[in-house]
Amino acid sequence: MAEPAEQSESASSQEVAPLQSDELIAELYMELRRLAGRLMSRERGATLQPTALIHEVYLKLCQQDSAVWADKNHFMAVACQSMRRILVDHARRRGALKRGQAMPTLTLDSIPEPGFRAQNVENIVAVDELLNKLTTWDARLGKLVELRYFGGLTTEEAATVMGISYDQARRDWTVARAWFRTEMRLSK
Amino acid sequence: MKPQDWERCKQIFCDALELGLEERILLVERECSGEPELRLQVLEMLGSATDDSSLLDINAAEQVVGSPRLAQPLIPGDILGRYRVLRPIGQGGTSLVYLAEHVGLHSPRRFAIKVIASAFLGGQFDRFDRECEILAGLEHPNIARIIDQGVTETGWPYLVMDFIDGLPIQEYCAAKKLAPPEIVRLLLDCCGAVSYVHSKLVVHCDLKPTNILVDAGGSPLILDFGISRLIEPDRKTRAGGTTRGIRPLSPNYASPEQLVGAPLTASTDIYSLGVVFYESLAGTLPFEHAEYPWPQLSRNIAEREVPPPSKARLKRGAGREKLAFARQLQGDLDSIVLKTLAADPRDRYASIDELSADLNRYLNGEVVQARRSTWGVRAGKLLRRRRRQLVQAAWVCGGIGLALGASSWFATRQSRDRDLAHVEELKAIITPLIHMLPEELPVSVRARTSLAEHLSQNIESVAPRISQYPELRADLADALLRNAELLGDPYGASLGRIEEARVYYRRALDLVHNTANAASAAIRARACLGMGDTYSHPSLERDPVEAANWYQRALHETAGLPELRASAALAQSRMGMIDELLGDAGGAQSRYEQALRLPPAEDTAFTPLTAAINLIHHAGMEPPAARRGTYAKALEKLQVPLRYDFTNILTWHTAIEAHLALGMAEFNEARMAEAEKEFSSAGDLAATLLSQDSEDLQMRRESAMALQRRSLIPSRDGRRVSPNSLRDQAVEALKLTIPNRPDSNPDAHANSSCGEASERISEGTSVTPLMAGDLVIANRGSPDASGNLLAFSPGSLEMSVLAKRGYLNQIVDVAIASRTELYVADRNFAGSGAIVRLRHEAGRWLQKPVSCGGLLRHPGTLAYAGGRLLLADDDESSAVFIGIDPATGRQTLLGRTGAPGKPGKLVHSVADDFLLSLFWPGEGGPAELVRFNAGTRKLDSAARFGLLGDPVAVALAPNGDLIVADREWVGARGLGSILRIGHGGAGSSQKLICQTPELSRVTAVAVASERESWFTTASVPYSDSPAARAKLFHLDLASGHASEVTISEGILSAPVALLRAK
Repeated sequence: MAEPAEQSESASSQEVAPLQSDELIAELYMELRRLAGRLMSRERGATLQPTALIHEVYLKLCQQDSAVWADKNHFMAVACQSMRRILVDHARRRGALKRGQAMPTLTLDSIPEPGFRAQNVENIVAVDELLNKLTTWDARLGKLVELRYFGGLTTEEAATVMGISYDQARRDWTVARAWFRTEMRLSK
Repeated sequence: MKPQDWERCKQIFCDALELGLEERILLVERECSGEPELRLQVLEMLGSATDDSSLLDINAAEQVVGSPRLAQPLIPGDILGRYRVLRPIGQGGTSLVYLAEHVGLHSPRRFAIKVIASAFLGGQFDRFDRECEILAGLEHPNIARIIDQGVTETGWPYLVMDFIDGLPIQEYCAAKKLAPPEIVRLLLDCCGAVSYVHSKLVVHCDLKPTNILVDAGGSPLILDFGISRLIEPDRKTRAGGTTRGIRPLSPNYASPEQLVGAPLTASTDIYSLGVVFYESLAGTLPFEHAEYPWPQLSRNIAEREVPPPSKARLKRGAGREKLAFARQLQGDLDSIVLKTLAADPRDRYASIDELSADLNRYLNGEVVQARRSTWGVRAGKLLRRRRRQLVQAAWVCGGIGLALGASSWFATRQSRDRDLAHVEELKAIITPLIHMLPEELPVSVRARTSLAEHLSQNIESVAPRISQYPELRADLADALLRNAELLGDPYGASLGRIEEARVYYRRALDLVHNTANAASAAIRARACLGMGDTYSHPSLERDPVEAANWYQRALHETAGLPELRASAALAQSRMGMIDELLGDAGGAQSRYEQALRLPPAEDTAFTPLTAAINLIHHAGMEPPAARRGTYAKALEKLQVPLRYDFTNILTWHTAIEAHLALGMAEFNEARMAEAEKEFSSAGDLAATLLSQDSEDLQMRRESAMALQRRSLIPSRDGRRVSPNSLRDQAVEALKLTIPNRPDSNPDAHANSSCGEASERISEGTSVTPLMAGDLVIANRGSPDASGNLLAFSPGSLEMSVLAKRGYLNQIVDVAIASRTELYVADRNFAGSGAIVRLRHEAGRWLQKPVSCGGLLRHPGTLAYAGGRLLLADDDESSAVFIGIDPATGRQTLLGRTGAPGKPGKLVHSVADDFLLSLFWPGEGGPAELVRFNAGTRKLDSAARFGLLGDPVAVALAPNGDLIVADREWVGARGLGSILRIGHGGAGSSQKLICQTPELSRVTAVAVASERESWFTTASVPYSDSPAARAKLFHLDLASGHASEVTISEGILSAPVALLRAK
């Protein structure tokens, strides 16, 4: 895994109100950096730079007036939620730009083929929509998918954030994966 | 799904995942009994559980931020390590394969280099590494060796293998016409290799003919370990260990446990190898899967029936050699192959070595082990099957198999005193055929084809005997109808074999043609409707008149029978459709009203699919404006079947039909975006199916229709996306659907169907436009030679060929628009009537069909006036007036003559008035000249009786008199005449100008001036007298003196039209 670029750090928190403690901010920021590093090992030709994404998340988090986090896990959960919003918005914008019209529905064929970049944005939007549906049924599964898919956490990390056992998280992930796959197939 | 159901669904799913395949199904069936929705959800999720391509596997950030890296394709000459790329030879899902040679060695040895093509799915690298790792550990003469591996300059891993210039094993067996023992020896080599692989704890997981190539030396080589897996030595079972199910897979070769994502053992390779054996021996696959096997499998997995290879082989045709071949399979090899194909791994050979041992026993003539077990298993299955009496496609196949057995059994029996038993047996053959619900037809064309073959065979086995048992006639007729519908019902889910379908429809009709009961009437009505449909469906060569005749007959059959009102309503609505097609909106409206007035049939909509079909039928009866809502409703109903019933071909056809129809409804209301969306949806559905089964003729037609409909859009909308390319695609697609008949010209038909035929240069000698006073003569043409157009100059007495060949075939008439523009009516343009335009430009006569098919059945005669054409079509009993816009090709039905008589010649008189001679009136009818007004569509008589006998042609004199060529002057046998019919006062005067025997063969007449006229006569084909050839005469109208014009021999072959250019 490549480490993200070091240079853009200075511009991080220029207009941000101070949080509870500088140490926490520093720790959380490092957490995000770590996340970014893992998420985006490849950044060539990207339209949204990893550091930019993290900045966006960071700013969004700090803009929330009630930005008080119980602990690191809570912070991670909220951060993943923010990332979801940012990524989905980004995907929608790109999709809209490309097409000048509404999103087409996703087809099964678009998933496993190589060179499917055009579909990526659709994938994200599709997952987001299905995730909304899943969450109304099963909030725990929904949370797990959000942490893993949008936050990029591992099963282990997600289990910690959610306060459930690793085994439980793994089982839930299997169910969620199968459910998504089924929905995708049926939505065809 | 309710929340508590979801909790249960999760629980059952998790529990089931822990179990093996059989227990898994049992658990689901037990837990979900009575809850089909829950059951389906669990089954779907189980089927999805082990996919390794889930959307969720690449996290979102990586998708947005990271760009997928694709390997640059290599180009010939690129160097990879010590290898030089020669050319690409293949492409896998994630890799590219190139042919390469060694840089240093000048040897003919060739290598295959496989380069990973996409790193986007993180798993690809792992998979590739695994393949390298696995292959590196394998060293066997029948496994393609890995020779080298490396990384390209841009960081893409590749591996180098021996290039095998060979054939897939089953093709090799077929090409070399190997006998069964030779095939078995090949298979034994494969077994050896697979056994070796298994001994290394590797499961190949993707054995199929394209991965087992036989090289020139005749040894098989196994390749592509791309999805093979290492078996994890298992704690629980000692039998070889398992690995998880893997996708992607090749459905036709994958084992049942692989299809459903259950844990895999080495037995999965035994199964796949079994399929390869089967295919090599039988020449066909044992079992074909639709793309999504789950619903089908959960029904059939335990009870499916694979025909023994010997039977399958026989089915592919008779002949002494085939019989001998099949006989060698029968018994031992049948049993061995079937044992490898057992659904339950426990019923298969325990190891590949046991399979080898049995194959060796076969070769040595020893008792084969497999033989003992299989019969018991099969007998049990048959019993279970009979008890269930389920009406399913799979069952029908089996049922027909049974029936087939029964029929051959009693065919050998000769006893005559068992009539009752015979009736029962015949019934046993016919009944399953009838009870095949059309709602349950497999998607695969091959499966439906074999179903139709079975049906035909059984029908033929029963038909000759049926005459003794009239009570069975209706049943057999019903079976005939089923077969017709299966073969070519264009509105249903058929194989698109229209011509064959018509044969069966007619046979059904014949069988019950004079039986007076409601059941027979129902069959007749259905057959007539079916016949009509084969002439009216928009994806076919339409013949509205023929279709209308059949629908009329169907209506007639249903009259007074309330139980047939659904058929009656359908017939009415189809008649309405024809009226609409022919431009008669009023007639259509009243038809629809009548259809709706008929009380609705009882609600037979058991399923959403039938509900959707009923809605589509209903929409067909509604006035056009009201249809949109009904079609939308039908589509709504189809959502469920499209999700759960996608193994049924009718679901797809119905959905496509609904999309197309809704699209047309939107289109007619100028809602172009919506229309385009519907057409595209229809096209997408068709494309999805065609990607699985490109042989589906009817699906191809529907796909072409979707394209053609889409091509309508931009021109109206003004957006002009790329209408031409769409239309070109539609033309190409349509071409593929036109059967290869000797008399049809697919190119021309397809082109004209889409309004796009290219203009051709005519072959001919004339390079000049017509001169005033020139005569244009049309030669009809014969089956051997196409017709042509001649230009005759009365001044110089020169005859030149204006145009021949190209689009011209069987010319019946010609109309002159100007000295540079002519229109030809032709009877045989790709099997239909057509109007071909001839245009003089830059020293050439160019020809192009402007309108064809549709109303043009048997064009009779053509006239041109004021930029429009009027055609009289010969409808056997009367003449049909059709207006044609030469610019657009649009045809409008204007009217028809009431009295019998064939259209002779149509001429324009004044304003909208045209005159038509009617000849050959048949028994007792009067010969007549009629006047038709194309504006008011009024028809009246211009002259009848009197001197008129058989007026084939007519021309207008400058003063308005009519000059009539009469083939048989009334009352004078063997004499034809030229008459003048004047108009004046109340009636018309008739005057005889001349009469000669020559005129009894007159074909056409033209008037040059008040005094001068010309006529042509036909040759007498059966006479070799020089006097009997076709001739051109000059006629002095005042004196009645006719003189033959001498022209060069042979040019005038069969003149049918004569006109003078002004």
